[in-house]
Amino acid sequence: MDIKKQKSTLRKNDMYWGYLFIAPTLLGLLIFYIFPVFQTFFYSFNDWGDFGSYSWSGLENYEEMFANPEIWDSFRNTLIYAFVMVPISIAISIIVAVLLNQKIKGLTFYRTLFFLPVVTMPAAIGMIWKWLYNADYGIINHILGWFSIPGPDWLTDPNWVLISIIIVGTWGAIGTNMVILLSGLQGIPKSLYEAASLDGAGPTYSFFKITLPLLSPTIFFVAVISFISAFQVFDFIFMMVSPTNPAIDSAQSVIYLFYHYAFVIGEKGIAAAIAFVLFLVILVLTILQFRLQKRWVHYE
Amino acid sequence: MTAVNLGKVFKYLILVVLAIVFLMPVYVIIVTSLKPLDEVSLDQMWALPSSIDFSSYTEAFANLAPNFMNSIYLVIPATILSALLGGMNGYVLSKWKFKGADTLFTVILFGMFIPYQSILIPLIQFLRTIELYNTIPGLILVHVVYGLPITTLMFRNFYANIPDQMIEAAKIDGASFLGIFRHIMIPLSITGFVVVAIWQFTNIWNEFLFAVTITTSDQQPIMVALQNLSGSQIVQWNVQMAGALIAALPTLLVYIFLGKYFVRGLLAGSVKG
Repeated sequence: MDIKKQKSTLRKNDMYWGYLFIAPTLLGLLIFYIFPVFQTFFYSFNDWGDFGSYSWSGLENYEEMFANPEIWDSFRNTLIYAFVMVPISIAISIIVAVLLNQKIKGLTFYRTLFFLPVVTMPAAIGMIWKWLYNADYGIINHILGWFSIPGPDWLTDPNWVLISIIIVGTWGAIGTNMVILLSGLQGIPKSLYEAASLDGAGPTYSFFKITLPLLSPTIFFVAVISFISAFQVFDFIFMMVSPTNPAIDSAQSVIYLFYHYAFVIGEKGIAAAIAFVLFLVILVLTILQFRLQKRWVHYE
Repeated sequence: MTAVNLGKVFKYLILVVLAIVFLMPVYVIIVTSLKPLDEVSLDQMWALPSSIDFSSYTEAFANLAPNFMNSIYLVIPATILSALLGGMNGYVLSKWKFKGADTLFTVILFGMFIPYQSILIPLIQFLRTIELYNTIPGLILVHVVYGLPITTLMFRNFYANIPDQMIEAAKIDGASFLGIFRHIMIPLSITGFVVVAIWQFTNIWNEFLFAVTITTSDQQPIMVALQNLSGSQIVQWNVQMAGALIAALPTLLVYIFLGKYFVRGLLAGSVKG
């Protein structure tokens, strides 16, 4: 009896240690995540003065926001970016992952190479591509020149700038997607392919009937995280397209504009409204993806 | 037979074309950075430098050195702290489940899905109140807190592989909560710490929005300084490319030498989630 009691107090003591270990995180979550989300929501209904003062203004920020074509443009740019970049990058990544899941010469070389952009600073990536895209001296137009193709002004022509951004985004996303998909591919039992080939199935049939369905949970996961990060695209655009760029309206993403409103011109109320709407868009899109997954994702 | 060969040709064609697309920036950055400015011109675009010239590196380094050090002062403590806290959380959430531990874990994971821009404005207000705005410690705090969901997840997955019997046995031998953490969990999770540390190091080193909004001028880490370098009056592409390479070098080196750990971190933080 006595021993049992002693043991339980010991357990209790240990319990306190458990709470103590988790306390900093809990505090951090409350102060840095949960409370600020509500705060942002609150700020979006306030008008901000010059010295950090604010006063209640109701829906004014939202009205101003939705009346502003610049903001509509930024949402349109971001949607186009996400809905073009994510499918293309996933398609390329699947092909690359399937190829690199086979016995191929120079396997490690290719894997390392395609993964390089993932570890490289986005600011540096933006800088490098700005140079590659340079209309007068850039290497891309130089190469196009060999074939007598006149290259566009990649970053200053409003018709091209978003395409240029999508190219860089896709280029940078392939590495992460490829690694996750490769790990998914390695989970597919080899015996399935052997059985299929005994039945006379070709590689194309195997790809569509075995690889894709069994990889679909991984593809789904990649799609969810890719969309979330695509909606937050900012740093390399910020690096490539300056605010004085003539094509800025066709290039700036939601976060780019958010940054501009919050930290350049100090319209924190509108910035908070933008951030909150983006938060909702991401939330809805993620929920929608989870809903739609039943239609195409195969779980064993 | 021919079909097989055709398929093979096609495979290598895709890989080679992609490899060129990925190698081109590498080639351009190295070649441009090794040229003096007067050779960075239209007709010599492709050409290798006539003689290797490191002056762009000295110039870029002179501009970036203070910010490079800021990044070091930021990334080292932030990495260590977030790894340690993540390890503590992972330990509690996998081996010492108290009431509501699973709910708490879900809440922590949910934190990963909150776009951090939506909390940036109140966050900066808060940093001003506690007088950490525009300081490296402020930036460290922010990176530690926002790194916690991912490091917790990685450690929880890692610790889930350590058999519960081991913990039970230690308890019977009289080991305490802290004793088990120090003498069993930490020694068994050295790889876990390496994976998490590399992951955090890379992400914090590369992060831009926090850095550009929380710090100004001489407190800024290198990625912001890099942006300023590109905004200078005369566009010295050779210096910019050298700067980009200097800024990217630490993470590239980490990846080249410890790449498999980085990939493991990426997978621990994603697929199993």
